[in-house]
Amino acid sequence: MVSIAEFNTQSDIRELRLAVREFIKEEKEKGTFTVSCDASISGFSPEFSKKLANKGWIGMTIPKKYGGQEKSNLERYVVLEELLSKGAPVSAHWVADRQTAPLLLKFGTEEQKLKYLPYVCKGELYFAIGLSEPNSGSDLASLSTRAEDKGDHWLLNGSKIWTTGAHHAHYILVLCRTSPKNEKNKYEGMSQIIVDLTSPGVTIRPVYLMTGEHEFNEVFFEDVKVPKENLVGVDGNGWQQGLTELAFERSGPERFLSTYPLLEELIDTIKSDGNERSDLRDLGSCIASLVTLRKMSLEVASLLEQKKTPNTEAAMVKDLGTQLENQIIHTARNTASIYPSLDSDKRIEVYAAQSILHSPGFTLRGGTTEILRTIISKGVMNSG
Amino acid sequence: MILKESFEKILDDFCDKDLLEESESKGVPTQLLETLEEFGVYLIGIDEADGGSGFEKKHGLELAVIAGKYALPIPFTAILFRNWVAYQEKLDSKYHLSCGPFDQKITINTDEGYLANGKIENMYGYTKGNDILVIGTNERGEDYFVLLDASELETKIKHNLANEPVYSFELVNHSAKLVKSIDSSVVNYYFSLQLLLNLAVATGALKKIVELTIEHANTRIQFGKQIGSFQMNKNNLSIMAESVKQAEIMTRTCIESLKDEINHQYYLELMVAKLKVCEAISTATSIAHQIHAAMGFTQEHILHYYTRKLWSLREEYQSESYWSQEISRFILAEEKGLWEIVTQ
Repeated sequence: MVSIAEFNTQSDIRELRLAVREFIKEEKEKGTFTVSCDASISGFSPEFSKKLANKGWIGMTIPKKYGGQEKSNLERYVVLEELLSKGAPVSAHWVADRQTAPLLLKFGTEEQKLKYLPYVCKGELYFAIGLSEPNSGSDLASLSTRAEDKGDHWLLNGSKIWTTGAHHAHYILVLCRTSPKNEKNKYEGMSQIIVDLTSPGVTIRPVYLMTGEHEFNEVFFEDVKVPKENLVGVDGNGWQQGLTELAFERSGPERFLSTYPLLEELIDTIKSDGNERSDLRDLGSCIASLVTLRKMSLEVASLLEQKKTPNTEAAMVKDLGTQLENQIIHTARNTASIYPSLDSDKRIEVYAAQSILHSPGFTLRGGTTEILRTIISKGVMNSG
Repeated sequence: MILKESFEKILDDFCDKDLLEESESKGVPTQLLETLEEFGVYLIGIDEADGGSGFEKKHGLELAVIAGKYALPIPFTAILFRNWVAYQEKLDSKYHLSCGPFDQKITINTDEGYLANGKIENMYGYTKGNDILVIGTNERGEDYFVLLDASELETKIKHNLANEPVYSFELVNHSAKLVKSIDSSVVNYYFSLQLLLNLAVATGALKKIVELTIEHANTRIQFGKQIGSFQMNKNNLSIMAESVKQAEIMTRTCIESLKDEINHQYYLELMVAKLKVCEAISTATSIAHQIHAAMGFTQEHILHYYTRKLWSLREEYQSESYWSQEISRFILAEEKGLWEIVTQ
């Protein structure tokens, strides 16, 4: 196992990091992308995803026979943190790479793995996640979208909301009921089903963010016929299957690096303007939190590598990570003299505006603060 | 592993509430001090060839975490540190010494008779009768070890928040017992050890108050329910656990990556550890007392031995305000970008 203390200096890790860094530098120089905050959500570029795939940096942990690289979670971590810290556009393949591929590897059939994973690894196949519904947010287990077994197919009816990137994605992984709700155990009877978003009966309605950006959608399913073989894992085991992936969703570097470009720009601004009059306490506190959270996040990646399910630790990373993302905004506003604006000619003001306008989402996606702290308290109280 | 288990067994046998109470009124418990000496704990960090135990400083730091967990009423870390410095600087055969806080420096006039001037304040862990080793700086900013004969000093004693004695003294054209030139990188290395020992004890104590608070939240019944089932308490327990986890991971990182000299990366991580431990002390002690309520605020409960110790540790080696600005200055002074520094 790689020691977190020694992680940075391990030679193969170092080489990989430098290779990613060099690639990003070249792409920035070519003008392939513009740096933005919150790029894992808002930076959509199929061309960039394809280039990453050609480098072998998508589907890194997937076995070679499915088109992957058979690398470790920690190597994958290096690639992700380098991309996110530079605000590179990774949203196109993000969900498929982070969540769908590990889920299929763990629970999918051989046919499903062969059908989807090679194209995920090529950066050509995008997935969306169908979890929340108009009346089921944090209380996800109350969901009502249902798939009826019609013998040779599932008949899907219902809707999903806040589905990031569904308008770009090829498939959506829907959590739905395949058995009626059991009032004594609401987690029973749910399943995960892959739905082709071009199927008849699927309608995608944009739900614009408060900035006017189109990232969210509402996806309607009206008598959508889904092939039987699109069920992932075991019928009725969808809730448990989904839970195993939460540590991946909550502990990655995207959970604390959304506003990182703003922090780096703030440091450059202070360096060029001089710091004699700046109160540097908030900045030091941000840097300390960044260093610490990165260690915590790496520790979770290391535990995942050992096939453990560190859900409490992952929830901590997410909860603290979103606090840091907001703390960076607060620090930039209070340390430098800035006027946040999306059309400013100063980078720091653009990044500040992007960060502020996206900030309400930080504590919502991947579980609200309320949900995360419930998980953490349950975890620590049971271990006490 | 055996070292840690055996050390913990000794502390488990000795460090009950009665001993902590007695130590506070009567001073360091002699029997426990002797037991630890017989166990060989003070030989850690000293080479076997020189009569040491062969265990490394890292092991001593791991024991310091355990010492924190038991609120060990002995200045264990101060003794370990003075042993390490005395051994490495080859001072142990000639002098009995205690070390001052190495973040404080007196001035030493190397051009005129090596006279010492300045103040040392709130020195923890002084052993009566010992000489005192402090750091001095001359007119050119060069560092020196300065050994002072304590019998010639007018020391003022007060008590830290854990009710342990701390010593202060002022030097005016004072003739030192020994002045020895030392490279500033060595001073920084020793200071990093001194600070890390403080953080290790604090981390052990922080983990203990989380344990105590969870146990209390799981067993105390109010309004017919465990108090841990109330939403506000769950929220507070989460915040407490998160703050202590941050302190713990940074302290552990610094212990694991401890080498014989410190580089820039290590210094950054140590500063971060200090800041995170201080933040955790503020957050976790406040929540621990809130959840324990009135009983934790009394001498009848064991909680105060930990929280007062933590508050006293927080006051050593500068405040959060100092370290947060120091971290910023460190990053701003580097030519490399922040990300390159963090990942190097």
